[in-house]
Amino acid sequence: MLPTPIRPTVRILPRRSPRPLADAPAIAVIGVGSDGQFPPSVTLDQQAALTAALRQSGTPLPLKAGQVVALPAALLPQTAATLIVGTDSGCSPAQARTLGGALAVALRGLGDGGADLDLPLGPEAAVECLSALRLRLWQAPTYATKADPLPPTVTTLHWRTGSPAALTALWQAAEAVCEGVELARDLQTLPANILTVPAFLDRARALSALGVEVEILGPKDLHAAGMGLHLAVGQASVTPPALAVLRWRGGPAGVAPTLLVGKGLCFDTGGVCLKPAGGMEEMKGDMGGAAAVIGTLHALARQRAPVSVTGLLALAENAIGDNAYRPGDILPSHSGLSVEVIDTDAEGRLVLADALSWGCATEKPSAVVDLATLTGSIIVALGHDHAGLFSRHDSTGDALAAALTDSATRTGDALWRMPLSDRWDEALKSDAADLRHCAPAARLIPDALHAARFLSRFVPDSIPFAHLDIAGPSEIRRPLPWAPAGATGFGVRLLVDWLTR
Amino acid sequence: MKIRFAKSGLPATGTVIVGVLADRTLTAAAKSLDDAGNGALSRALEAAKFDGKAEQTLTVLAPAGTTLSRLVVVGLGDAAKADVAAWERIGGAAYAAAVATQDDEVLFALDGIDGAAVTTAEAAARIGFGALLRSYRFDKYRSEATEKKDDKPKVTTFTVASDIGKDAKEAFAPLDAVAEGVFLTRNLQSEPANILGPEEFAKECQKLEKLGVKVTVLGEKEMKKLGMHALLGVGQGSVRESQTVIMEWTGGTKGEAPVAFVGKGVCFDTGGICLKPAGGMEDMKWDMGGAGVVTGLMHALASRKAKANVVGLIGLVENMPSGNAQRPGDVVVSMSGQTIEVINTDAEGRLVLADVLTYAQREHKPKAIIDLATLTGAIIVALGGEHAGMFTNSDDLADKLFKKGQATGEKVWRMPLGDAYDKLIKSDIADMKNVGDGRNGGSITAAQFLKRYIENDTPWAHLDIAGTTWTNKDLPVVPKGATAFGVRLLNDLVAEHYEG
Repeated sequence: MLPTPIRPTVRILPRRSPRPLADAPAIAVIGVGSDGQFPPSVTLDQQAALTAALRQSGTPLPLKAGQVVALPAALLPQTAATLIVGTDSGCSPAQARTLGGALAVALRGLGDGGADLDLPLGPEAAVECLSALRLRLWQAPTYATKADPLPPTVTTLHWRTGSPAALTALWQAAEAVCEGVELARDLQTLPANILTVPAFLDRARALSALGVEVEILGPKDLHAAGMGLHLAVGQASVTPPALAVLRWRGGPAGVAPTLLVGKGLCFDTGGVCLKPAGGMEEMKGDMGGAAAVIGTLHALARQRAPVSVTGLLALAENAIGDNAYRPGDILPSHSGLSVEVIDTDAEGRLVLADALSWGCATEKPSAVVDLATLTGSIIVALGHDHAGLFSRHDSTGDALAAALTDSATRTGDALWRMPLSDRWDEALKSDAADLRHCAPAARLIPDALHAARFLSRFVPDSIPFAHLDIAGPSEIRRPLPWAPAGATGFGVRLLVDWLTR
Repeated sequence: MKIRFAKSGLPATGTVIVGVLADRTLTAAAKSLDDAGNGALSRALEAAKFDGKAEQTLTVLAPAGTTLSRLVVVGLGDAAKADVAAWERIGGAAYAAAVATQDDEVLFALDGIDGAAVTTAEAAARIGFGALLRSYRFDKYRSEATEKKDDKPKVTTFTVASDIGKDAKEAFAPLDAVAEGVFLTRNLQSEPANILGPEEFAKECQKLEKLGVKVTVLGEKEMKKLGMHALLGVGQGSVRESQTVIMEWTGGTKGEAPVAFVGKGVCFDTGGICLKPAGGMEDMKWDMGGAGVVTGLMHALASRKAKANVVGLIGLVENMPSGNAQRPGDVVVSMSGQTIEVINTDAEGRLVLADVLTYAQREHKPKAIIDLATLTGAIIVALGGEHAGMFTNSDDLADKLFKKGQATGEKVWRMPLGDAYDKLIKSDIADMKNVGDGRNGGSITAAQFLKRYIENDTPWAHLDIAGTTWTNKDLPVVPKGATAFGVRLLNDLVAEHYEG
């Protein structure tokens, strides 16, 4: 039913390999420096022909960095098309990603053979460029029975480099991350009748083939563990809630793992506090945090990364029904704190609170990061270009925030730190329970700040903790260099970078 | 209310405030009263579970063994950790507890505090400052018919008694000037829009001339000549004439480039043709909060004779719907020459600021610009009332403002700027439109709009004070209502970084 996605294979080969390559790539991609310098694989005659063709097409050399010009076919032997790319020495990771994205757009539909790429990029920039190229070509799974065939697009990328061994190693690690991002995007995109809680659990179990230890806590286990918040959110659905525990133990024995927690609402109707119909279909993506966590574990396992990480997928469907939890309900939690429910549509923080508390108690982690498509408020605050980063304002919290922000800058999964304050305890005060999970609906309340403070109450002060509200960048309307519009898999590249550095 | 400083010593009668340190450690004054009552005060503290936490208060009427009418005990917390802002909050909390007294004088017996992080003189001055700030009351429209006699505070003098009353008085003098500025700002923010329109506001500014401030007022005719059509478009629906006021204080070296403060002064904001819903619209009388802050700040700087060149510029308009009001879809040419498609007439503050920012740079060539505006509802959703949103092109300015915010308690939180947000204000028919992607990232797109009016990368910060200009509950040094948020922050910024 699903068409085969475009995931071109990358072959790394020495820069001076003769042209044309043995398996006859259909497209040549040639980088030209700002000094007009062609790579050595292009002969002087070919250079003259290409320079003339560029002039004729109204784009004479030198090209601007990142500019891509498509030229007619017959200029180089056995090619169907030639792409000339303006490149700059000292290309930053961000520029390399922009270049990769531009190449993806230019290559789409040019033919499904191979491409012969000769660009003067160092190994790190090459990997960023290739990753962005591949991730930009990702397409959402479709169930259309009469879908148009995908435009014929490259199946193999032959990348010329002066240091094939170094680049091969880097690319293998990057390819694992690309797979993780693609997995996360696929899951975000699947509709809620297909990706139910049990179907998500099957995806989790599949990671055991990569050496990940998978444990599933079903409703009975959740009940036995006292996870009343998580159970309540899922209780109206015919597919019961579950917690998937994914343990990758690549690090030295005896070292505490890092804990990742993902909000996995396979669908969020809002419950009794039903959402308006307009845009509700987007709520199939309300498991973007859990998707990022499973994608990260996939990448780490494929890399055989020398780190120990536990990922928790807090899965539930927030359905409406005759057994749904109600505003005013008072719920027990794993931590022992009682919680009064105000708005059943603020369910994400409930499942996360139990998962955070259970994870800290069970895994004794050295640090904990949760990811969640948590609030509309964070989109009002930061739009779709940054996720909100909340961590405690002390030395360990600041250090964690700084490390995550570094990884964000390197990978392009952008974070912006927001204040985490106990000032909001007053807004979360309940007359009937230890606390309530949100303030009553009103105009202009800082709900993202309230949610962050609520979550922090379920993580012991001794454990460095960061909460990423990814409601904005998890799903985008305008493409990024490495992501078409739609599901982004936000968080996978960020977390893998942070965990493996 | 007058703040006085005296030598240590307890009066025999009236209302007295004494401090108790953390862990219920009595100060000398508290101890002497406890002894006079044979330990009655200690028993009262124990009975009330009063442990000396900062700003905690307890009132004892007719305390045993004394002839006082009222004793207020205030928690001082850990004096070794208390900064100046902590002492201000203690002063404010103490005043709030003591104000119910029937006496017209209140005495805070501070004496000396061993091991305090600040000098006794500084602590005393800050207590007086905090009490004064908290004593503000906007009651000019409460007539005797409704104002209950007992509600009106009787306290006219607040005395802080310490070992070194004279030094405290000296330390207090510049703070008194700041408090005057704060009160002016709060008055302007509290005045209803039928009383304070653009021209009335401009007249208030002209009163600063007495302090040596040069005040220039531009009317609509002058602004038309200058091409300030972005500002004029906002005001054109109102019968009241728009104004721009320029206040120059030249306390620094002659000829040196000034620091510019720019304020949004929408004296009332109905939203215009994009009319706001009725609920809560009365709050829009304080949509001139930024202009109020700039005016109060200029007052404070001039009356304490700050050694700096500072120019304050405010754009004053009223945003009304009418047959001549600006419409969604209108295109205006700003003073900078850039064209703006007005999509939402309720995103008017940035239109006003754009022209005033351009004017400020063309006429005054400032070395730094800080603008203040009650600009977006989105900043309230983003940050609540704890921090103002700070947007800046200068890491240096960001650092200075953040630190001063922490020190004064008028806190700011930096928010992002970037090309991805700038793209959201692209217009199909003009250089830009005045809103972005609905409410999403709404404070950021507003800031991106303003950034387009900053020339030559002049260091610039924009403070979105929509969440911090008004408070619905009493805060230690701010009674419920207008806060004047920004006056103390920017006064201290000027004092530390632009004077000398």
